[in-house]
Parts: sequence; C-alpha cells; structure tokens
Amino acid sequence: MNDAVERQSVALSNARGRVMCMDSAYDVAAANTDRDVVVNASYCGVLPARFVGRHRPRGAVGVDCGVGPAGAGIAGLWYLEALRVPAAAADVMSSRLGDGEDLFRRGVISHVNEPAGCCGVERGMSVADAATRMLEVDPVDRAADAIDNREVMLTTESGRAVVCTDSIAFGRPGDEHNVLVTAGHTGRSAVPYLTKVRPFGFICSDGGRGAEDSGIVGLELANALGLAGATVDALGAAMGDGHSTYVDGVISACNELATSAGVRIGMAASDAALLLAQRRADVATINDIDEEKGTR
Amino acid sequence: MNEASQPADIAPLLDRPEDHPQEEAATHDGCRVMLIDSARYCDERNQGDVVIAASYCGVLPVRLVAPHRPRGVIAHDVGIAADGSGIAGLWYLEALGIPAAATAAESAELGNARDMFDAGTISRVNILAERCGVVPGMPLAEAAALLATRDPGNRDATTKVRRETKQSDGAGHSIVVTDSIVFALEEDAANVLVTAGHTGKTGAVFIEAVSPRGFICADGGPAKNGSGTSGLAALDEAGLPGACYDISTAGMGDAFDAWERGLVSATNQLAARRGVRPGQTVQHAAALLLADTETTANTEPSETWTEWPEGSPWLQSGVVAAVSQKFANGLARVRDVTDADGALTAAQKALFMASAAAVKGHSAMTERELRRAVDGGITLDAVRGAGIAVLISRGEGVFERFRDAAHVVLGPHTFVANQAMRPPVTPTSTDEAFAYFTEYFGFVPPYIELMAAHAPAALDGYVLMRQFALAENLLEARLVELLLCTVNAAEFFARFVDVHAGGARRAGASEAQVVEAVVCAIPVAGVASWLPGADGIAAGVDTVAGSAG
Repeated sequence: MNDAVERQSVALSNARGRVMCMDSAYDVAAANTDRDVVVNASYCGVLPARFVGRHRPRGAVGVDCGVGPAGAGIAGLWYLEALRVPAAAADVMSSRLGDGEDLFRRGVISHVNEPAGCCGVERGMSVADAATRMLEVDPVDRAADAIDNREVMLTTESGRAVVCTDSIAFGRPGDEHNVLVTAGHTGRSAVPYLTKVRPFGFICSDGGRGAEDSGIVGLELANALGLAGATVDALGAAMGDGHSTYVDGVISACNELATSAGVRIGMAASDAALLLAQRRADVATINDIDEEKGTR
Repeated sequence: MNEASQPADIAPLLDRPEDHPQEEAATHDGCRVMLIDSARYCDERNQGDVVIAASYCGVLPVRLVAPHRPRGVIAHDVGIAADGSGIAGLWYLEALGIPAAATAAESAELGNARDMFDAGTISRVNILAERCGVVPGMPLAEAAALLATRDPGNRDATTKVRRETKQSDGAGHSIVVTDSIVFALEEDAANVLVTAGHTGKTGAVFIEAVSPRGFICADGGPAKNGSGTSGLAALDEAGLPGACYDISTAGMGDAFDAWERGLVSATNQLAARRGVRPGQTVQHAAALLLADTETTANTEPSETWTEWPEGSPWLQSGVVAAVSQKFANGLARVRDVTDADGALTAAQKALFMASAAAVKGHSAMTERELRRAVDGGITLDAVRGAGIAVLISRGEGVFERFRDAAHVVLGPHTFVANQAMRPPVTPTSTDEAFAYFTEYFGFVPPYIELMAAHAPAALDGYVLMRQFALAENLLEARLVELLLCTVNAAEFFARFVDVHAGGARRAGASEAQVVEAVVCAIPVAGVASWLPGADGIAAGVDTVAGSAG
C-alpha cells in the first residue's frame, strides 16, 4: 500500500481531504478511503472500478477510452454509483492515457454518474473543476424514485411545458398539460404509466425495438387513448437519460396523433417535442379525457 | 439546473402493491423465479428471489430493484443501446453483490417477462452471474435456475481475477488470458499474456515488471497523442514483443472478449518481426508470439538487396527493365530512397506515398503502398491519422479513396462509425483564430482575413480541423507535416510544400527528413514533382536563415 501512496501526487488539499493524481486505478489506496478524490488515468471500466471501489474514495475521475463497445470504457461509473462513489469519465482525446497529472490539468468530462451529478459535476466541465466539486460537496443520498432528473426545457405561449425526466414512471400530477421527454422503452409495460400520467404528448425510447417491435407497441395503444407520442432510436440516445433523448434523440417511430402534429421519422427529438406541445388539442382535449376516463 | 425535486411529488405512480403484478414461473431449492413486466413492480416481497424484469437493464431500472435485495436479476439488453446504457445496470448490481444477466433483444419481447422466460436467451452477464455458470447464449430459464441454486462466491465490491490458459507449446510456454496485466504471476515470464488494459505509459511499466514472452493489451481507443499505445515502443527497447487490440472490436477490461473477437491495431517492431500485423485476430497474433520465430523480411540492410525495390510492381515485374535496364536502375535508385529505412523509416514513407497516391486518384497504388506501410509496422491509428491529413488537405472524395484502400488492407474496422451525435462546440473568436495563425505562420495571411470577414463559421471550422489534423492527430505532428510535403510536391504546389516543410521543421524534423518526404512524391507524380518540391524546401530555408539573420 505504501508503494501505491508513493505513486500519487497531491493536486489540491483542504480540511475535507485531497485531490490525488495517479497514473493508474491500481494505485488507489486505503489512505484515500472516505477522504480523497482520486484522479486516475485508467479507463472507467468495471475492472479498474473494482480497484477503486474496494477503497471507497470520496470521488473518482477516469478516462472514457472512447466509450467502446457496450459502453465498456465507462461501465465502472455505474459500479461506483452503486457504492455511492461520485465518479466521472473524461474524454479520451482531452488528455494522455496513463498520466494522472495530465488528466487533472487538461481533461474534460464526458460522462458522469448520479452521485457525481449531485456534486454538481457536468459533461463539458474540466477535470480540475469536477474533482474540486467532488471534494467540496457531499452527494445527497436519494431514493431511486427521487432520481428523476426532471427539467423544464421550454414553455410554449399557451403554457405547455416540454419536460425532460428519466422515466415516464416519474410523471407528476399536472403533466397532462405537458409534453414528457423520457428514456424508457415504449413497450406494453409503459402503457399503465402513460394511462395514469396522460401527458399531452410524449417521447420515449424505442428500446432497440426488441422482438416483434415490442419496444414501440405502446405507441398504438397510446394513440387509442388519445395520446400523441413518438420514440427515439436507442442506438443514438442513452436509455434512462431523458436529457439524452431530448438532445441526442432522432425520431424512429410515431403514432397517428403525433404524425398529425407534424412529427416525422428522422426528425430531432427536440423539434418533435415542440410540435407535440404546439399541436391542437381538438382530437382529445384535456377536458374530454377527464370526462371519458380513457374509454376512447 | 433541475427543478427542485420534492419528495412528496416523486413518482406517485404505482406505489400500491396491487399495481405490482408478479407471476411465479418456477422454484428451485425453495428459491422463487418471479416474472415482472416492469422493474417498477419489484418490491419487498422479492427479497431472495430471482427476478426476471422485462425492463431494459439500465441503471435507472436496477435502482428500483436493488433495494429489495433479490438473489439474482435478469433484464432485457434492448440491443445494448447508446453508450451501453441498455446493460449498465449489470455493473451497478455487481457492486452490490447481486448476480445479473441481460437477455438478447431479438430473443424476447420488451415489457413481457413471460416471453423472456419462455423464449429469451442470455446475451451479457456480470462476473457474479458468470461465477454461477451463466454464459451468453444460454436459455433464460436455465440461467434463472443457476442464479437460484449456485453460489457466486465472494460478493464484495473488490477485485475479481479471471485467468485461463488457452494454449501451450509443450516446451513450458503458454498463452494465458487474464483481464489485467496486474493479475500476472511470476511464471508468466515464460508465457504470452492476453490482457485488456491500455498500453500507455502505466501499462508498459507493469508489462516490463512481468517481462512476458509476448503480450497483447488494449489500445485504449484513439487517445490523445497516441498515449494508449505509447508503451509499445518502450517495450521494444525492453526486448518485449507485443501488440494492441482495437477496442472498437472487443471491450476494454475483458480479455476473454478480446481473445474471442479482438483484432490487432498496432504492434511493436519485435512483434512485427514475428509476423504480427494490424488486422490479425488476437488468437493468430498470440500464436505467433508464442512461436517466437523471427522472420527475416524487411530486416536486411538495403546494401545487400539483389532484387528490385519492393514498392514498384513495374520494376518487380521487369516491365520497365525490358524497355531499358538503365532507366529501371534509375527508378530503382529513387525507390532505394523511398522504400528503405533512411532519415525516415520505409514504412513512414510508404504511408506518405499511399496518401499522395490517393490525392492523385491512383487507387491501386494507394492500396499497394498502404499494404507496405502496414507490413512495416505502421499502426492502425497512424493510418487513421493519415486519412484525416488527406481529408483536411484534399477533401472528402480523396478521404473516401484512402479509406477504401485502408479497408481492403486492414479490414473494415480501420474507419468505424461512431454513433455519437454532434457535440457542442464553443465558437472560436476571430481574435483567437488570428492568434492561432499568427503562432503558426508568424502573421495572418490575407486569405484568412477574407474568410474571417465573410464566412466566420467556415474559419472556425478551418481552425478546428487544422488544430486537430496538424497538432493533435493520431499520427504525430512531425509526420503529418512531412506527409503533406509529399502530397503537395505530388500536386506540384511549391507554396504548400514551403508551409509544411516549415511546420515539419518546427515539429522537430531534420532537413534530410524533409527532403526524403519530397522525394517520395517522385514514384507517385514523377520528377515533375521535384522542382516545385525543391522550391518549397528552399523557400523555407531562406525564411529560417532570414529570420535568424
């Protein structure tokens, strides 16, 4: 362990702990437990995350290595999230692999886990800023239901909001007036949520389609309930991340009501969301729905 | 940035137990296998159950499942999805000690746990499920039974070592697959190690400490300054032959995936002498390293050559010699410069000639020279870097020709598609752009001012492309500048030879290297390239002399 400590250098230090730079995740040591943010120039895979996780540092920053097949270059973020360790990955082209000090100096964050987000770490931030926030802010422990990443992206003149949230299950009372942009699939199990929330419009993921197009079967069922909706291609937008649906999403399918509003396959999700928010409600107004209780 | 989360408002849906439909599909040794169409339906009843949830296997769904401490979890891989978001929950659950697996998207319906149980097959596993015996391709019901009955061993969030001997030569040497070089044993000095970390500075230190017979590690993706493969050259000096696999062909951290699917992207000189080449499978390359037989190709000094230089099929076939032995000897003397190690290596010069041939529209020659470059040890990333250099210099059509040749020589993984969407960019201000050109040229050329005045966005693009292609590229800056000397000489542009000869000198190139790069234009574009090439070189020499004076 002493050897490992010798392979670390101090980038920042205060009463709460330190930001330590090291060339490899293997160099994380017991001395870092509950105290230091470890900036290590390994990839952010599960294997290095196991080295990091066993010592439970205050926070961790690694390198995304281009993310790679099946997200292997950032999979460790989710491992560390389960251990409540804030963790982020830096864009592999922003600094040199295997050089922890260079990562601290020049790295730019590309991916964050939920506890890191709680600390205020965001994509595009410098590694130095991200590590500083991890050192200074304790992530709040939140129940799974409380991690909804809800944000109003825009409000139309008629008062309808386009709201990003990570799952249709996180819909709230009042969302019947809004367009919800979420990131679960649109299979049959999404329908009970859609039925209860009754959003004015929705955009979810197609879940990679699945066998028998089961990932978009909810579109037709929703149409029958008077709900206009569309899906984005799961290959282009991260599932479970409503903001990714909004920013990265490309429409892969839509139901008839959404088509009537001008939504088309191939359109950017943000454009489609605006069209849904501006659509005329003459097919199924909010009042109609309240009266008919979903019997359409 | 987010609206304040108010716990009272949070997820009011489906909180009641009657909203959580569950079906018992089987029991094994008293452990239930429970079917739920949504991860949301998991609740306190499921402690100790194997839960089959027809949600995607992302972090969000498993956050809902994990607190109820099921014994095992199987969810849907949704085709893996962007950035692996469809299976990221596997790693979350591993950290919590819960064995988990994902079902192949095409095998079962989403939102239909019964269909998953009846028809699903396993596509991905976490290491705890693997230790229960669950493997990709297995029917889901069988995997569920294993999760219900087998013990994965240590569930703590700590290191898990996987190691397997794949082949032995009967003389005490083996090919050993293990996920990280730090898992190597003392005995591995006799073995070829296939591991899955990157081959940068830190990787090289670990490899040298083990000193294996041969090694194959990951290339770390297109990391800045080639830092994911920079350890290769250092290990040449340490006498250790080795190669990297391309992490767009197999996952990092998973040496077993690399063994099954990985393709070589770069080698060091010692490995090249053992026949290892980019584009080979990891298994083939490991077998060559195990055999440890040096080939003699390309190692003889040029003085001993008795045959025609290898680069020209017109010399090799005797077509030119049949017309004139003297002329053929003349071309051969030029090829002696371009095809053998000199101030630049033969492989670097072959890469320059391939680039110039692409620019001139000569597809067959592009492919031929690229093959020589690769056989001489040019890395996959260097080829990619050269592609970007011809793209900025001569546009997309030339890039397309270069890419087509690279795919013939190196396979379709040379230039792969990245699903990522267009990232945000902070526009470069005119002042910043001017500062950039002033640093490069010493002044702002009028053609830059023209662009700044009327098409500032294009200037922004020009700066971004130029910064990457010339300074941050996968091919080192000095070689990019020299490559552009070859290309511009082949196009008879003295002015641009001058610009890039200057860039090459600033990046540390010697005068002999600049001259060799320009001579490389002769086999591609004839001696007509030499005069403008020489003019360009001389102009820069004058400038340097002038500024010194």
